[in-house]
Amino acid sequence: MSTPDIDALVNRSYRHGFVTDIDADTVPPGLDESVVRLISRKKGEPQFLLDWRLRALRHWQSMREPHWAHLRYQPIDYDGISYYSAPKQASDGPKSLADVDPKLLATYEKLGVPLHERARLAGVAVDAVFDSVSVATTFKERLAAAGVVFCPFSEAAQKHPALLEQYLGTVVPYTDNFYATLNSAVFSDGSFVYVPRGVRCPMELSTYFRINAAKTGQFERTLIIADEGASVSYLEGCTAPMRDENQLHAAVVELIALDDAQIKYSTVQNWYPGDEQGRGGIYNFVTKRGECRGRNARISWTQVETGSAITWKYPSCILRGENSVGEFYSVATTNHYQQADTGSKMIHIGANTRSTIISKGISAGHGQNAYRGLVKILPTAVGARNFTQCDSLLMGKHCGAHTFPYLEVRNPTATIEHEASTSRISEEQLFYCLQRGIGAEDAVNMIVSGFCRTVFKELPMEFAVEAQNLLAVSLEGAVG
Amino acid sequence: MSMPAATERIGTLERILRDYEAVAAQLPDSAVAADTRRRAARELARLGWPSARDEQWRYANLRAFERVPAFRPAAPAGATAAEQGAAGAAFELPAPLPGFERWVYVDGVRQGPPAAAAAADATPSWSAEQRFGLLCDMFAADRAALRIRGQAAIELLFITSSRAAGAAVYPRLQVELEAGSRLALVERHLGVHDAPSLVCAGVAIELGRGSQLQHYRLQQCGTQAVFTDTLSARLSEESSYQVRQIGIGAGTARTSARVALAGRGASLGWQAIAVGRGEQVHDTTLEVEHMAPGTRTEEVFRGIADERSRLAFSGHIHIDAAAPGSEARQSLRGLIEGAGAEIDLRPRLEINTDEVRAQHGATTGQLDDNLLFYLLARGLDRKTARALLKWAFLGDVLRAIDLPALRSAAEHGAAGQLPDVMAVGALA
Amino acid sequence: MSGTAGTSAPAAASDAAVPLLEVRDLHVRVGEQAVLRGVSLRIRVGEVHAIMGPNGSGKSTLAHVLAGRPGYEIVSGSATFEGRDLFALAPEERARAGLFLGFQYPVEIPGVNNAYLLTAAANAARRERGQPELDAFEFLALVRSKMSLMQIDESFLGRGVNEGFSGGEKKRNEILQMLVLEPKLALLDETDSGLDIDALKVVASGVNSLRAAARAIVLVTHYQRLLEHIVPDFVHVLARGRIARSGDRTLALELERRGYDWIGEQAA
Repeated sequence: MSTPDIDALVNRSYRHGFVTDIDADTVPPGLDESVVRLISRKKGEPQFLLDWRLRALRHWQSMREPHWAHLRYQPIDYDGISYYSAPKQASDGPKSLADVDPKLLATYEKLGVPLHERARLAGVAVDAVFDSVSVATTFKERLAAAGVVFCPFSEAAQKHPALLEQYLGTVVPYTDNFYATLNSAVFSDGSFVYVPRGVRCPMELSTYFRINAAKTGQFERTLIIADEGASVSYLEGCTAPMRDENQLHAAVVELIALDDAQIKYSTVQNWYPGDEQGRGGIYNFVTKRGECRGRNARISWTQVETGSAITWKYPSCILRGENSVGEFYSVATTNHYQQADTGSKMIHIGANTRSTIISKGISAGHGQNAYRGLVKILPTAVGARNFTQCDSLLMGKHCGAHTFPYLEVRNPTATIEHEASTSRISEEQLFYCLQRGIGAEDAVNMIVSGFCRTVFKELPMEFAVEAQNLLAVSLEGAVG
Repeated sequence: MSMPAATERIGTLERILRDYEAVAAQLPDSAVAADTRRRAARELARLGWPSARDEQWRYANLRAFERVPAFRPAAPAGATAAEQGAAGAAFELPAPLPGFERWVYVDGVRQGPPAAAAAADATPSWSAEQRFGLLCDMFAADRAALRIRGQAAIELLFITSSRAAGAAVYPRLQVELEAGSRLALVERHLGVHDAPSLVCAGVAIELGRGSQLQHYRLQQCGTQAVFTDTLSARLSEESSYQVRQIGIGAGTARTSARVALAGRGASLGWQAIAVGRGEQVHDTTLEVEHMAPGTRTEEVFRGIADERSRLAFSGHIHIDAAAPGSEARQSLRGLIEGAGAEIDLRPRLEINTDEVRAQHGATTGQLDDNLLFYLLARGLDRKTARALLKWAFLGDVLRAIDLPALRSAAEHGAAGQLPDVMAVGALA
Repeated sequence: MSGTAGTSAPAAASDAAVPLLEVRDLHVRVGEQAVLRGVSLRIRVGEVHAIMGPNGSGKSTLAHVLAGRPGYEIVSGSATFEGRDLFALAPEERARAGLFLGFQYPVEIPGVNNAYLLTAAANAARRERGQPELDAFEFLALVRSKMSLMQIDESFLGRGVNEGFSGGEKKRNEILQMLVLEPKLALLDETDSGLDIDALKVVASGVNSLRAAARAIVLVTHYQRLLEHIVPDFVHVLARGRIARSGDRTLALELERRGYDWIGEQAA
């Protein structure tokens, strides 16, 4: 397609690309045992956690970077990265919002993160992570009254070491993969959630991650445990400043749902994607995995991926408990020179486990978008069911849309179905809209949001609109 | 599958190279030129033995190939025609197909007079996924070379005799269709049941402008055989390549095929059936490259895994930016019958331009209870009802086999003995 | 109120012979839900019964349970067919014993042609009766005569079972199968639904051609109109899993006039 009018619809810049001028406490680049010990010491961590980090480091040093994904990028210089950066403050963690640097608060205001009064209006509890450190958690009291623990990971290490020791690394072991192992060694902060037995978390929980400092990696780690009969909905948002160099983000998220528990995890990922020529942008190598450990447990992943230069993530579910349910809903867009290799793994172990995968990939410009998914039915998973649908929308001659599904079935009573389709926004469709008086950009937005509707409706209400807007921004200039 | 130890992998490769050195001097130039053989050996040495960690070998039963007793060909040039004839006679040949010229190869060597006008050797450059094709280049003792102008119908029988037990057989097939030509080609691999041996076929296809090839492939080797076939096809403008592949035999079977739709408007239809019983492992990787505008692929796989068998089909369709207006469809379906059986499907699409129509669907499951109940409610016994539904499950592909004799061979092999379905159908 | 109301009329006309079908106080559940809550029914050879009732009353369930469809839990009660315990038989054994279910929604079986299904089914029934199997020619002669009665085209035999058939074609195909199989008891589940008047007449004439002293027919239907063409000897109204009323065909006419609510009020 090359309608000149459409070609002209180019480029609004990345809205979250400002840099906040804050003194940061950053360790020199490079990674060895002393860096890991330093991070652990700064966090005042218990011994078991330091030991675990060191085991991970030693294992990582024996590993090689994987290259099976459908991604092309300059080699990452792991010695050129600083593994810890924190805004400089008198004491390491803010005690309340009043202690937080006003510049930081202003940063989150700019980002639209409802950190302050707005948080109260939105009814969302927010933990904000700036570079490597958690700066504030709102709504602590109300959550505490319900018995819900929602705090920075570093705080959990001090206040809830028993829970950490019991659950950390039980879904994503420190040996899991190159990036997860690196994260296990150097993770700095993140969120920790524990919802006790029978408790429905009274509000949405949310974490906003932001990378600010230059030449730093961000390695947050999130652990969410829903005890028997508990339920929680959690949303994660991410942004980063515009910089010419690539920055590494290697996060790990572990979810654990016990009997009858439910966890809904939503992500709106808007890391800096790089510029139109593909310079800069975040390398997003993330390991997200949930385990339905108990009967009737349910884990649902919803992701809207509009940012990052490189996205490598496969939010997955291990369906161990009988009758447990795993879901994955994804919208991933790649414009300009963005590349995404994303999808899900559903591992069916328990009887009558069910899973659904709905993936919508949108490719524009020179963007490369790959869906990669594994559905594995083990012999024990009697009566297991999976339905997968992955659709691709292509805009332009130079983009790519790829699907790499793996369907591995080892039980004769299981039924799995996979469907994939590819479509494009045709000139006819656009012309039809134009003829009806709808501008090209609106027409594209309309068609795209129609394409993504089944995923957007899975997002918590407050974020569905935001996701839709983000998508519109990320696809600006895409038609041409 | 656990990883074979590194030493074991090297061991297999070393055994292959050692066997090659031992027999290289006796292998006939007429089948493969000596320097082509040497190049193939060097290339295999460079690539090494595959590992299950390689994406394209993920579902292959590599261990079976590693346990092959010997890689040297069973019928080197020294064997007399009389000996080979005797081996062939011990095997009951299927009834000839009406209208087809029949060529018989026993243990990789042609029976009867040599082909009159053999085409020049056309060895494709095998990709890493197709490295077993190199084995065939290294060891083949003969070749079937067809160069077709006009119209022809040829049946090739590749028979593995009990003489090949403990050794290997390298069927080698090269087909070239000149512009506008048409060929119906039957490639049938048969074997005696109790001969443990490697059957390693190499097939190269070159289709000229506007030519049409109907390629029927039946693999009915003995259960002790380790079978692999490596196929490379290149399609010129407006040519059509229709493959019907039925895999029934062999303890382990691996197909590595690659089809290049190199000319505008070229089209491929690949319809495959695999039926596994016992501990059989069948895996196929098919890579299709759309390199020119307006090219088409229709890919169908139907697999039934009974008992403890394992079936895998990886269909990889790649559409270049230079191939606008292309269409690709994949339909992969598996039926798991056995409690210990496994089916692995991998429908892959790589699309690099927006003006394409591509879709794939894949399902794995069991026979539909509603259909089964309907048949039971009409009084059919459970065994017949199930056989009938299995036959119907394979129907898409079976119906595409328009040679009745071949189709019934496929049906009987695939769905088991059914009452005389065809008679009634034909009368009606 | 009484679950045994259905037996009263036929019982009055009974002779000493064993009834063809006898259902006693049948209770059936699907999952947690009780669908049949005490149905009794006695059907003798030569009779035509109509089972009517509003949607969800359990009519189709009754037909499917008798044919042996999986997924229903028989909580209590019994059913005998010519004195044999029906529930001890597999679906195919019931079919061969002479029980035919005409499906409301006949499934499509692509790839299995009608000719094959008819031959296989007819010969299975013949084997059961100790009759010699038909060869292909005899069989075709038989089927063709029935096909012309059902106004079904020749080409049909080579097509997949119900594959791409319209609703009316599927129903005619069901009746064709019935005519070929010549069952002792035909349970026709909503055979009239989705038919226009011409197709309804064809289906009715097919069914009527099978009326005989040696067999019985049960019509499961929501509407009265089928009964204008196939006149039943007995009419039963099923409501909330029980037979709420039984009578002769005037009951159907009364239902038509007054609607099912009338029964509901009476049964309440």
